[in-house]
Amino acid sequence: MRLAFLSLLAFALPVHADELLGGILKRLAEPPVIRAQFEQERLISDMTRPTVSRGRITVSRQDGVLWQIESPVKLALAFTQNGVIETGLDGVRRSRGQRRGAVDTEVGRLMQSIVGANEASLKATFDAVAEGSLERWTVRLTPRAREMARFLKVVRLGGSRYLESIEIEEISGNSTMIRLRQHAVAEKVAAEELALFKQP
Amino acid sequence: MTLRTRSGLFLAALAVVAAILAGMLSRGVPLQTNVLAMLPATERDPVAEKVVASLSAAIGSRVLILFSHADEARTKAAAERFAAAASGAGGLRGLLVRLPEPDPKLLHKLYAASRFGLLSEPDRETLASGRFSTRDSVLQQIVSPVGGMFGLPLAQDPFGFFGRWMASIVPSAGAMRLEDGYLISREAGRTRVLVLGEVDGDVYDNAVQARAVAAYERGAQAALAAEPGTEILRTGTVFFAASARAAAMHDMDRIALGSIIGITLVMFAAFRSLRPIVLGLLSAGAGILAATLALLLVDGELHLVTLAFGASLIGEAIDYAILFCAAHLAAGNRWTPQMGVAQVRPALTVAVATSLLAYALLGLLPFPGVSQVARFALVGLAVAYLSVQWLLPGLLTQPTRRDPARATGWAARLLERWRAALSGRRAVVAGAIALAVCVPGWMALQSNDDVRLLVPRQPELAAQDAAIRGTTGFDAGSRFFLVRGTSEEDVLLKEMNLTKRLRELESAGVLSGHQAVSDFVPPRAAQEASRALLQKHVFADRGALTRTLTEVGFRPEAVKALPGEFDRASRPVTVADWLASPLSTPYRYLWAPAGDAVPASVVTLIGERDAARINLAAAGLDGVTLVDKATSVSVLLGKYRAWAAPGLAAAAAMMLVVLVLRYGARAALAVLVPVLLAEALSLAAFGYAGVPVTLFGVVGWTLGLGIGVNYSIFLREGIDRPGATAMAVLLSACTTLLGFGLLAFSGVPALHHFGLALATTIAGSLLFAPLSLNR
Repeated sequence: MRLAFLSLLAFALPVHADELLGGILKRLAEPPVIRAQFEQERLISDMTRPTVSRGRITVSRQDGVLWQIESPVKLALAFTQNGVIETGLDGVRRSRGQRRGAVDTEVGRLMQSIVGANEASLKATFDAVAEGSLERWTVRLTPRAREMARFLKVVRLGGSRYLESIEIEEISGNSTMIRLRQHAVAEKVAAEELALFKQP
Repeated sequence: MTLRTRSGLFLAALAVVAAILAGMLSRGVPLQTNVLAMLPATERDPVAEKVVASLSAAIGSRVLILFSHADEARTKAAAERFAAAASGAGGLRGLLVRLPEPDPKLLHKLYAASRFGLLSEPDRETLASGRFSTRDSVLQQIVSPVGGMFGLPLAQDPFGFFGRWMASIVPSAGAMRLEDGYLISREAGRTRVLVLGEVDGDVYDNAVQARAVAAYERGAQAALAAEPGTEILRTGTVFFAASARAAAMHDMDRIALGSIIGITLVMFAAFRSLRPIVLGLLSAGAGILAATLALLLVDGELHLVTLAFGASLIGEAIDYAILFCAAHLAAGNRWTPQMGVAQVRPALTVAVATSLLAYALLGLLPFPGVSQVARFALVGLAVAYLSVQWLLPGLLTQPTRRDPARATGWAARLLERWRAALSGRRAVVAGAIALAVCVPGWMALQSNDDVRLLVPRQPELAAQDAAIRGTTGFDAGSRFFLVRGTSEEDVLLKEMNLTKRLRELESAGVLSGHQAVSDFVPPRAAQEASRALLQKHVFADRGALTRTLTEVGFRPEAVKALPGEFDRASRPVTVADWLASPLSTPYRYLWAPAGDAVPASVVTLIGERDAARINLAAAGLDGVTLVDKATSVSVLLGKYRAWAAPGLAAAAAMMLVVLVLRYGARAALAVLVPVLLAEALSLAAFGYAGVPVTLFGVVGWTLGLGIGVNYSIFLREGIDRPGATAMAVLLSACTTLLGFGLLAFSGVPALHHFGLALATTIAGSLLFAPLSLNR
């Protein structure tokens, strides 16, 4: 009886895992706009120590992901479907997707699908495996396409109601750990944020 | 020589011609479907003309096939099945479902030794402005979550210059992205996969077209059989050319068949005998055979339009035989072939002289296509004329058994009544009213010189083409910039002046993109300037550079290597390097398009949205010209159309000279008036119906002038009985309408306008012909 129950559970597990992933992404995608504080630790392969940076992040279903780094240097990166728009510390802006080069477009989409938890583009780009429960979960993302697999080894997401951690391992040996906290939900992005999303 | 031996010799010659022709055609019909080949050179610059040809071959051979299915795996499977089934047996080659994995070493090999001379435009501006800070720049790279992910390791490119330059030269694929080698897009619940390929051979070669289309169909069937529900879209010059060819062949079949059936019925009704039909077709056939052979020998190939036109030449060539047979009917039992020839010769000679004059005038137009049509008509009509005198007499020696008066009586009465209706004051008033009614029609006339009149695009293919362009962004137009200089460096420098303006247009949304060699290989001067900028703002104070990089956390050995690399990697990348790399394969046609001896390049445009602003991009730039074949052709069509009105008047004047020599001034005018009236009414009809005046309509009116005047000449010259003459004219007009006139139903706009102009002119000439009998 007990064995039967266990095997039934084992049988049901993949479905459960897939349902869990769907539930997580659905929940993450609910608010139109989420803002959070982030702290990032990035270890570059030719560097002796990790670099810590802090700032704010805004995830908008409609516009994309806005990464506003405040220390140790000021930099805003807007990741959209069409590319990456950089705004430097002096307010000088440059659209890296100016010629809409494929690389920047890919980067824009990549970050939007990871941080923005865009289910369709996430599933198209990665094999995603969810573990845990809706209250405390991790999702492991491995690139599906060989183009992405040349650069990216694995991405691990963790969270509860909101996305709380992002861990990126690159093929080059670089690794990045991002922690998000103080989440706040909003209906739409602020005017100054919207300006950063706009093509210069 | 007896009549029979002469006929026999003529038939023997005809048989030889037919045999030679059959031998030539057994190797395939050399049918030219490239519209450009029909037109004269449009560019003043012979280099530009050459480049147009080489580019249209390079771009024209591409095919794009887009697969779409709700299920991603099935979409990919359908594409794979397609490629497997379509490759192999020839037709299409290089069908790529999955692009080969790009070798990252290739980029390194091509650019590594030159990388400090390669800067993206924004980086050049930042460095030149003096705002560059090494510390901020390297920190931005480190803290960006994707900094250094795609390019060189951060220690080798700590400021991301090379990475940004590389990113700036990777072309966009519109909504498509490269995924596992597939060009893929996901939209509205469907996955789309693009397959690229090339036509195996010359796109405008019929056999190649047929093989390519067959290969596509084989592939599409296999894909649909394996994965039902797959949507398959295709585009490429080969599909348009093949469909235009099929449509023209279909037109020709239909028109030729309609002509033959119609003419046979009309002739049988009039002569109650099959002999005149056989003689008529023999005479017309002799003309067409001879004309086809002559042109194939001289030109080597027949143009599509000539072929369609040739099919309808039956209509005029048969007129001469009709007159001969009418004379036979009119003579009754008094008939001898010699008498028949003597009776029809004056009318035929005047008719042929005026027609040949009109065609010769057409032959002077510098359009290879139009001139071929005219030469076809000249040879065909001359041979038909000779056949009536040399071939038909030997085949029509027995007199008819019908009573001539009864057989032609109906035509005599019809002519008499119609002539009465057209004479007197009433007719003058009616004519004046008719001309007055024409005036608003003339005022409403509009011209159209669009090149698309020549190239009918099948709507379904055009829709598929638009869908593929929309999804993929591969919407390369037919316009491009030609850049010429004195050397490789000069060409690249001139190109850069242009691409700078194009980038501004791209930012303004006027243009989606461009392709230029200088984007991949900047001019040496630009590479040296970029290197100098880096030297000045980054590598000048090496102590400070090392300090900054160490401070932010780089290992000392990595930091030390960088200045050494800057010193070593100082060789500018050259066009030769680029051409030698497999990376340049898709773009090689951009360089030296007119051959290696002429330093030149081509800059192609993608996604033009405002032609007028793009036209201005080359303004004032030395050595840069916009080549726009389609517009050049339209301008040319317009020029000849405008030229044609005085041409038509000149043709009429020349005919008048022939007629005055024969009939005297007053009667000559009477002979010319019917056809002139007919043309006036035809023009007005075009205006009322909203059919634009095109060069091809004008060609129709010119030919109509030559044929329409024949009816007046026939009536004027007469043969034995007025009834027989009237019958001959009526039959001639009917056969011409059934021949040429059916072209009015052609799907090719050019042929449609031609047929319409001709049919209305012929109908009018027939109606007014009795006016020529007025003294």
